[in-house]
Amino acid sequence: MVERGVRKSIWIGAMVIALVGALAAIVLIRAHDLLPPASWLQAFGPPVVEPRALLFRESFLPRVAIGLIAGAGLGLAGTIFQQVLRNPLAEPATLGVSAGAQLALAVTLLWFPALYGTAQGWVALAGAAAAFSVVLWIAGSLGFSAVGMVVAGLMVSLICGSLCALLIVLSHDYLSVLFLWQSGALAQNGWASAKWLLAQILPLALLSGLLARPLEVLGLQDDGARSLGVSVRTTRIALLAVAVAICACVTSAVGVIGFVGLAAPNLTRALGARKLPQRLVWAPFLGACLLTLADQTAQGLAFIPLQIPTGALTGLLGAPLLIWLVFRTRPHAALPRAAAESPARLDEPATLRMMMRGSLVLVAVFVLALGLGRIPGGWHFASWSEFELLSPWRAPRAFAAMACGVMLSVAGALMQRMTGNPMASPELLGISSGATLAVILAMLLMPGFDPAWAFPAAGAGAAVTLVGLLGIAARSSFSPERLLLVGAALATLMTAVSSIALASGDPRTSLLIAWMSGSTYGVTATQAGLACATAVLVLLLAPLCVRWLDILPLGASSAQAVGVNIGNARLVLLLLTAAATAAATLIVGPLSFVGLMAPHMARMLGLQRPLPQLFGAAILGALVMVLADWLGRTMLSPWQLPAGMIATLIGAPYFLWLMRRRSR
Amino acid sequence: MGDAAAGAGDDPAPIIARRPATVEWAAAETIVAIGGFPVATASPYRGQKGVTDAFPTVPEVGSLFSPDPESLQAVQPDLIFCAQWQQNLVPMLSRIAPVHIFDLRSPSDKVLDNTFRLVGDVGRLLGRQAEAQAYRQDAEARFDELKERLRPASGQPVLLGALAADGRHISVFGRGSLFDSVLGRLGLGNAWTGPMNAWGNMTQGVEVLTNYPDTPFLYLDAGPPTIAARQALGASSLWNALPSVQRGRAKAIPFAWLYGGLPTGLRFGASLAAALAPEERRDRG
Repeated sequence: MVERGVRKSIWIGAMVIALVGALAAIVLIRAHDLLPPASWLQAFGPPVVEPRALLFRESFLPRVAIGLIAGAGLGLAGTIFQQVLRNPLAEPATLGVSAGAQLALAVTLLWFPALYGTAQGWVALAGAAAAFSVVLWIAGSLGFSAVGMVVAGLMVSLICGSLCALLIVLSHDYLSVLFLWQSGALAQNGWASAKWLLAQILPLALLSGLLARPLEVLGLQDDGARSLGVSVRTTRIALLAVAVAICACVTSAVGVIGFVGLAAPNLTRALGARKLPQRLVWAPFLGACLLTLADQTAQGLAFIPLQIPTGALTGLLGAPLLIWLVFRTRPHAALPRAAAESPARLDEPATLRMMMRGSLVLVAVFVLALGLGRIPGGWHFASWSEFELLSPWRAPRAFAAMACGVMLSVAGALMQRMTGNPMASPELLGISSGATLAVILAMLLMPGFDPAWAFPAAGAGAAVTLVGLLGIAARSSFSPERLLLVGAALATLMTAVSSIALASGDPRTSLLIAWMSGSTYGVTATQAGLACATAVLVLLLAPLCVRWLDILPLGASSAQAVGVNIGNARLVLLLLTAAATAAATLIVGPLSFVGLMAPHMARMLGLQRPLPQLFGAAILGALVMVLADWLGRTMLSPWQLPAGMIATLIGAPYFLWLMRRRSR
Repeated sequence: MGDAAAGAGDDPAPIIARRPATVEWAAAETIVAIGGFPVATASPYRGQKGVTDAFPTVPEVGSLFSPDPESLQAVQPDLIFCAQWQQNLVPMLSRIAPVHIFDLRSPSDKVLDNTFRLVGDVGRLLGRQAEAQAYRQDAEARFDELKERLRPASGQPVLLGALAADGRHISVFGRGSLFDSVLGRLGLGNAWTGPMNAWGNMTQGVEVLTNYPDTPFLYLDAGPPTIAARQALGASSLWNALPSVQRGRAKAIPFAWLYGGLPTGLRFGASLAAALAPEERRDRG
């Protein structure tokens, strides 16, 4: 026992020394390349004119400084989030903070450009705080449960992200800077940012230190914390507010930096820091090292004819590390389960009536989507003869949207049943991320990329991801927590690579933006037909898995007790989910919203048994997607807005409202 | 590759287009320049200046990347001009009318020559060969005039860019861009020789400017983002210490669309001369 402890501390020491050593080495080498060491001190003599000295003093050094400060802030904020929400997946983005800040900046840039240059930081802070307030407002009605808060945060993120993407579609050139900001760029040309950030983070860090004890208690279950006399509600809100403020400051200073806030706390735990005060010191330290190391490395890659944003590189480096972590650590004390807020279950006739009504609404909306269009003079319902001319544009899109809505909803319902996690969605499984990744790589690496290659590339990406997931799943006996973590890592990877593509300034990436936001633009009749056929197949196969879906959420032991082979059941469910997701991703991009929402909505309407939930989700998903596609085509005609974006804007607020109303 | 006039239908007998449509702006401004009138063009982005100034009344059919087929069909074009980088639209466009694909970036080091070729192609397809020829000759004469005016600065390298609104990044324009091509035509040099993407631009941190202490830095005035950037840069110790900034050699020039045609090239050339020539004249005097 003692021997193991000693070995472990040696190993930890070696890791930390290696990290710090690598950081010091790369900083010194780069400083040396820039300016001979003899001139380092001279560079501080007041008026600097010599270009290299100027660069050293006003760009290189502030950049190192801001990397250290921002990294430490992210590490600290991540630790707080993971502790308070008891979720190892929690990161600064989980509560909508980054997305809120980004939206505020986009709006400011478009309508109040003068503010953007002068009060950028405060604008981001205001946006982050507003997003966080919405999350609190929703979570408040759910008694601030960790699950409720994470789901609400995710929804707010989706809404802000969609609004921001909408602005970008309408003003691409204008907002290109947002891509830079979105992918975390640390370039500095003076000390102002670093000083500002330090002045904000330092008091916040001290405050979180004071709150360390209540924070540790929160690691226990709510009941345990309450019996120790800690006001769970107040402490949780205070801590989250501190963490959100830190994130907002970091985000406004250097943009969105993924992974550091996720990795530093996890790494700290993996390295053996168990006590919270320890982690509050080590996670910021590791965060600072990680971010600065990544930033210096990104700059060292200057020979690549692409500017690699630092935030993208942290994502690239981080994803494999995260996957490794998933296998090294035991799954964190149970991911939150969502059983608490459940409305009354409908009886069989009521279920049937609801299905009938749903189908009728779907048919009506579909006819509307095909017939009603917008011409320069106003709204116009097409006559039959006109429709013949218009149907090549409208019909494939409407059918494809419907099919994708069905497939994503079924995939989402299966995943949520299988894992018992309300955050599960096709995107979190990583299949859509894998498909997108392949398309972006093909776009970046193939000279003279022909958009016709997007389809085969996406298919290959989805297949590779699926095989990888099956391998991982088999090794960890299909543990849902691990699959979700791997999916999150893949999503990070996808975001990183797409950031690089988007920041490259290549106009072709606009296609990528449209696809990634879920556009059905350009879907051909053949593609729509294939999508519909796949959707029908998925709908036929899914009911065969109903028994498993009833049993699996009860837990592994109960399932074995009634004679279900858990490995096989999960394998089949996984295959079905992956196939549905891949097919939908090929058409509408990595759209996760419908897959996340439709099953929830079905359950909230009282469709709780697996089969009604599956079909209810399919109808709701199809409804939302067809409506979204139609709105996207007509709302700002002739501008074509991606259906996925609209679906998020329709469904997420509705979902938030439902969440709040149902909980009363 | 050389002849980019690959239409959707092979037209042995020249058919004269009476209702030409475009889904971007280089062809649209070219059509307008030789006295034609396009029946459709792409909508400018919110806040994007200057791209449709020359033809404000042309119906707009949506973004460069996803024009609305229903709107395009409604104006009943008989020929659609489509840039090579919009090729993924061709299956859709060719259901509406024959498509003419043009490529201003092939060969990529002769972008300005390619815009001249586009004028000729548009003239032929619209039955306006004489106007096209006259416009080309006029453009050559204008460029010669501008080159003469810039003679004192001949061979001088210039850095071309755009400021990102965050005040921390710039886009630089290099080889393979229309702007670089115009610089060459006017006898000026491009100071940027670093890596470029396929479109002849590259995003860099503002600090790269320290490598060009005495080079004139001309940035496109894109309106509000440029104002925001200048505000942020006003507080930057690095920017304020740059010799080129202190000597007033970092200047805004009117916005020009990087992917534009010959009319854009001419306007950009005139902006260059206006920005560089007075300064040189003062130096002489």
